[in-house]
Amino acid sequence: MLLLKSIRVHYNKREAVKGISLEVGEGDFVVVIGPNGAGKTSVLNVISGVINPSEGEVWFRSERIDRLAPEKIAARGIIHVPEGRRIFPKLTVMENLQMGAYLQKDKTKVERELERIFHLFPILKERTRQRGESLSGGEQQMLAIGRGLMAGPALLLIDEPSLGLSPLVTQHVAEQMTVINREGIAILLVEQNARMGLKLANRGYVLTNGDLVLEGTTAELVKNEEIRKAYLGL
Amino acid sequence: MPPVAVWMDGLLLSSIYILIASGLVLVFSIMGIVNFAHGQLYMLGAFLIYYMFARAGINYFVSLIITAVAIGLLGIAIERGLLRPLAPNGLLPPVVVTLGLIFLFEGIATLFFGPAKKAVPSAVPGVSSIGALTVSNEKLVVVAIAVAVMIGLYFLVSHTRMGLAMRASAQDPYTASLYGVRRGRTLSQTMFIGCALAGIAASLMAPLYFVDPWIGLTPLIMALLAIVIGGLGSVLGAVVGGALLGFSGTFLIYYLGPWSELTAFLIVIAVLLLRPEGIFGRPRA
Ligand SMILES: Nc1ncnc2c1ncn2[C@@H]1O[C@H](COP(=O)(O)OP(=O)(O)OP(=O)(O)O)[C@@H](O)[C@H]1O
Ligand SMILES: [Mg+2]
Repeated sequence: MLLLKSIRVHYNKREAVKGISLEVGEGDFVVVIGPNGAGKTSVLNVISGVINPSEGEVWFRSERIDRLAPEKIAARGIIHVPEGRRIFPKLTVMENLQMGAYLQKDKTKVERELERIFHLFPILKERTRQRGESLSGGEQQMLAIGRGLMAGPALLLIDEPSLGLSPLVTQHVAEQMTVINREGIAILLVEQNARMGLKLANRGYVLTNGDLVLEGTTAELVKNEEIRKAYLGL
Repeated sequence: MPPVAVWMDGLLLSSIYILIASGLVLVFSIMGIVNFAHGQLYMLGAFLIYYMFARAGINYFVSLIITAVAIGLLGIAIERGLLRPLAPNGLLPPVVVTLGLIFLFEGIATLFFGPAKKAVPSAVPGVSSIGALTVSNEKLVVVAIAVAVMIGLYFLVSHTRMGLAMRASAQDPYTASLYGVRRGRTLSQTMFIGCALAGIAASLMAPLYFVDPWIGLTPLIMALLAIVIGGLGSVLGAVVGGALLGFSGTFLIYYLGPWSELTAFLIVIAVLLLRPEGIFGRPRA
């Protein structure tokens, strides 16, 4: 479904992503784990088209997309739920959700999606008229994912959803991601919380310093000595 | 209490300040740029109305719409041609560019239209009586159109997909782009609407005052004052600030004559001393 081939990203002269290749299959749940500054967000920004790679190719459903504008990529069903949630602070919860459906012309689809999101995150339904900035961190993360779902994505790119959330709320968000994936939406998750990421996904990559150092099924990865030491604290 | 006619004039002046200030504040709130040439766009709009309506005899309302669209398009040209290419270079370039445009537009107007004051005839002659009060139809039409335009602006910004995209993009352009908002198009739409408002204000005002190349300065200053009083960055603030200035201005002229402008300025200073963030602004954290 999604294929990255030898992607490199430079900021000014500095190389932040050093030629990585990565794959997400239809309906797959893939995690990329790695420490701060590893280049995880940069990779997602390349996929969603907000930055251009200095080298390499991105393919989505047998179409090359790495020079397309972000709105063209979003229209193809790749939706990026950004790091730090980035809820529109002065828009209401409902308006934030409507922004997710900005490219969705089909009104009945939007209605159906909205119902699904309220079913998934009932708390949002009670907050529709509140401003985004007034939500708690956990609610904002749910809204961020809900906003992504409003676009009717085939592939969700989710960047560090557990950031700053309590274990309990993280657990809840994690469960909902599993539900979303079971409904057929592929997920590429980026996480520093390796424990959670490896539990949720089928396959994983380890990114350090702009390089993919390990990849495999999550079942393999959790048994890996290095990962156990460096990321799981075992 | 000042006589009713003075209230009517206050309403009239307020309408114009509000139209100009809300165009300016719209552009500021979405794009983060104060367009110092906003008053000169108003001035060019007044000349357009003069040539179309007073000289060519085109229907007033048709002239008004053409003027609004033409000034809106000029706004897009300024945004695409000057502001956008300079955007990566910080806050100062847009200030310098829009200040420079003041001289450019005033120069062009003087060169092509001449420095002489020009009069635009009344668009809607006659008077109406409302109870004991007699008002010129012209003034009623100005106020009615201004109110309708402001309601339309409110609807556009807060209840349409385009308005939602404009607000979202102003708050977080990165995230808005992830959901398909094209920043460039949003900037053009904003500039078009903001400048078209100056064109509408000019069309409404031209038959009541005269037209010359220098009529842009006062409206700009008044609009800036209205925005600052109201609380920078909010259209509602611009409305309240515009009304405050419009009414206090006419009352002061009525009571104080030549001292009125100085006193209006003192009012602004008083408001800012009491509430530095403006009436509707939020205190900075
Ligand atoms: N816009 C930018 N300009 C310059 N350097 C950048 C920019 N964005 C990221 N970088 C640099 O690129 C490297 C990778 O950053 P990136 O944000 O992709 O890492 P990350 O893995 O997402 O980190 P974190 O877990 O902290 O979010 C870092 O060294 C960062 O400083
Ligand atoms: Mg990151």
